[in-house]
Amino acid sequence: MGLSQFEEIVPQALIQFLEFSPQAVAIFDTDMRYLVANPRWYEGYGIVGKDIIGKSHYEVFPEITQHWKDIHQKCLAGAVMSEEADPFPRADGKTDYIKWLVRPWYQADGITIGGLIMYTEVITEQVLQQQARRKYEARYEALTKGNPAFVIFTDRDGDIEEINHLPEEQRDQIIGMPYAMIIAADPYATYIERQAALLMDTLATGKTHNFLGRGASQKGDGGMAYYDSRIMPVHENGEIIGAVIIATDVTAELLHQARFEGIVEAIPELVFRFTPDGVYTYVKPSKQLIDAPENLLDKNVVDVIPGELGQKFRDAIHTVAKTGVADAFEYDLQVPIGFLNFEARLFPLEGEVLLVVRDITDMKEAQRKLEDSVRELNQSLLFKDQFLATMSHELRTPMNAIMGYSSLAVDLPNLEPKVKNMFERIVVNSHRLLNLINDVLDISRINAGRIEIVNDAFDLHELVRGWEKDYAQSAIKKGLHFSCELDPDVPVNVTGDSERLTQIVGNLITNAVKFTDTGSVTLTVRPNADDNTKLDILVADTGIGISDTWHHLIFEEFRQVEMGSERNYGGAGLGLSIVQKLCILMGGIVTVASKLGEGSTFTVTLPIARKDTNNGEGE
Amino acid sequence: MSKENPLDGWLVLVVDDEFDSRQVAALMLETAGATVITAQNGKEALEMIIQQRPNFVLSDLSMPVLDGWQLMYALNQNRATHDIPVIALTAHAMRGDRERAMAAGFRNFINKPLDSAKFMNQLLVILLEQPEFAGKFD
Repeated sequence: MGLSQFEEIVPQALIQFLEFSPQAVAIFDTDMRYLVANPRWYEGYGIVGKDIIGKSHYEVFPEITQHWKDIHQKCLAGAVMSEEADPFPRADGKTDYIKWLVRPWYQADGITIGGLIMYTEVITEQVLQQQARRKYEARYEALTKGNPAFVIFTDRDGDIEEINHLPEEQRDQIIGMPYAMIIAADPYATYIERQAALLMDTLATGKTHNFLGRGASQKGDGGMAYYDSRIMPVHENGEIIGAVIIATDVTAELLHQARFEGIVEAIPELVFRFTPDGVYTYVKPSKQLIDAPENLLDKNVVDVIPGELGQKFRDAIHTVAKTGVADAFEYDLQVPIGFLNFEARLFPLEGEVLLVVRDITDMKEAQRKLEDSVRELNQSLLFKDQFLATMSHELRTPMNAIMGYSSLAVDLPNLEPKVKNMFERIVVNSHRLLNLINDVLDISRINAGRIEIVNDAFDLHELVRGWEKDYAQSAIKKGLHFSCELDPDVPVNVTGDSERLTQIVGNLITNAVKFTDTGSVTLTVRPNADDNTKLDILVADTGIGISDTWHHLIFEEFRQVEMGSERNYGGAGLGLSIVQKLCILMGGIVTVASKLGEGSTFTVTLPIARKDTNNGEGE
Repeated sequence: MSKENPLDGWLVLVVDDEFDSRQVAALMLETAGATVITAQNGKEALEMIIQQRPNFVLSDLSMPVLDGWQLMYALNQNRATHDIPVIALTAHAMRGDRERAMAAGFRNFINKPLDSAKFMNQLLVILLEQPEFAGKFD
């Protein structure tokens, strides 16, 4: 069947086909002159009413660029070219998007190109809509995939249309399922059930619901999580077309809050939290509070605590919030039974202020009592000092008469031997009595903590030589051999309390002589073998010795008599106790090595401060 | 000068409010050859020192009327007496007493009770240290 059969009707139909085509169509000859253009062309290119037939396209549109001219030439050479959405700048600066197709048309021989056919369609609106849709899609993606919360869209029947955060397969299984059906996949059924009920209500009524519940952890580890869900309707043209559920994991916040409250409840103090303006945001429940916590929340502290104190609290809260520096103050409250003392401490906390209040009434009372007793103690120590000073003086005065007269009498000429001996015994015993008085006074002072250790410079070698001279006599008088060994490595210039050191050595040597009937007493002074900042002073004797049983007791006061030596050696047993106490006061120790019948060696080890010889020169 | 009587020819003033204390010190000094005058308090002592100018003074510290400290101060204040050596003789045996006494101007300090032999040793050592007695015991 050839076209010729329709020769009469076809041209009419073709004309109308062109006329009603939604696309703009124009046909050109090889010189780009218009052969025909449909009304859409005229409309589309703003040339309605213009006579363009027979005129060149380039004459009609002088703004046509070389780019287009090149396309035309390629198509005139046989190419077919098209573009789906070509931006086309208009003379007025706007850009239209054009879908176009340019192709050659052929002469009856089917070979010769007769010109071009151009189909164009302005699709600016579609392109803009598409762009807008893409933007919405991107935003949607960001709001769902990029949202840490679960975002679930349902249709108006409550069937799941979209859900984020699920792996592909899981997601595919869920899509299309009624929301309530995912209960099966969740061990926290009540949570989903409740949520599903709210969802159905939202779909029915258009109400937005909020719901805090416990569900499966998003981590998929089977753990639980707290979700704060918001269920909102999705409207289109005023019609509910579905709903969106946004479920935010608030576990961390809740745990944080729970931890805060847990910690706070473990504290016996009253705890409050305030906004920087002084409004209560947290009140720890406590029996000490007159008001229930819920009565305080959202109130300002100045409205709760009247007067200056409330003002003081508000100012302090404000300052702590502003500066971030903790504050503390004490205050008193008058209650029917008297005054109570409180201590308030304020700390900056997460943009708020934490107030911790402690009842310090008992502590204050204890402090007052302690201060009173310290005062009393100091008073009594002062009395004791005065008593000791007076006693010392008062005992020495009659002692002076006894010792003085007897020591004079002993040397009177022509004394009967018996009388002379009596005087000698009085002299010896008055010395014993004096020593006892001195020891008792010393031990009282040491025990009362009223003894001072001085730190003066002295020549240690000279001091040791002095001891040798002073104490040798008593040993020799008793028929004992006395020797003193001073190690040359012992420093000469030292600082310390030479008088107390002499007292220690004197007591030890007196003791050694007292308990030794035959043999020797040896004083050795040498640097400590382990620590040369320390000094060893050894007093060794060949006396009666001390049985192991008594070693731990010999430094205690008044022990000598109790230890029951067969013979009374005299003395109250205070000497070693004084030695030990003085050693401790000087930062040292005294030890004993002894066996019954084999003598004793007392070793005093004391820190000794060398005096800088450069500074010491010429002193 | 015999060794038994090292203070032969010396005039010594003993100041003490206690009779026995005065007598004990005086007897010991006399045993050593000294001539001893005594006073019961600082006031008496002051007058005797000015009138009799003893070689040295042994004075108690705690006394009524004028005590040893006040006596020392008064002697120091007077050009005629500030060079008289005064040695404190006291039953105050608390720590620091010696230092205080030396600081107040006493030449030295002897603790009571006194034992005659020890006392004389101690006293002679002290006297030997005094510049005005240099050569007196050679």
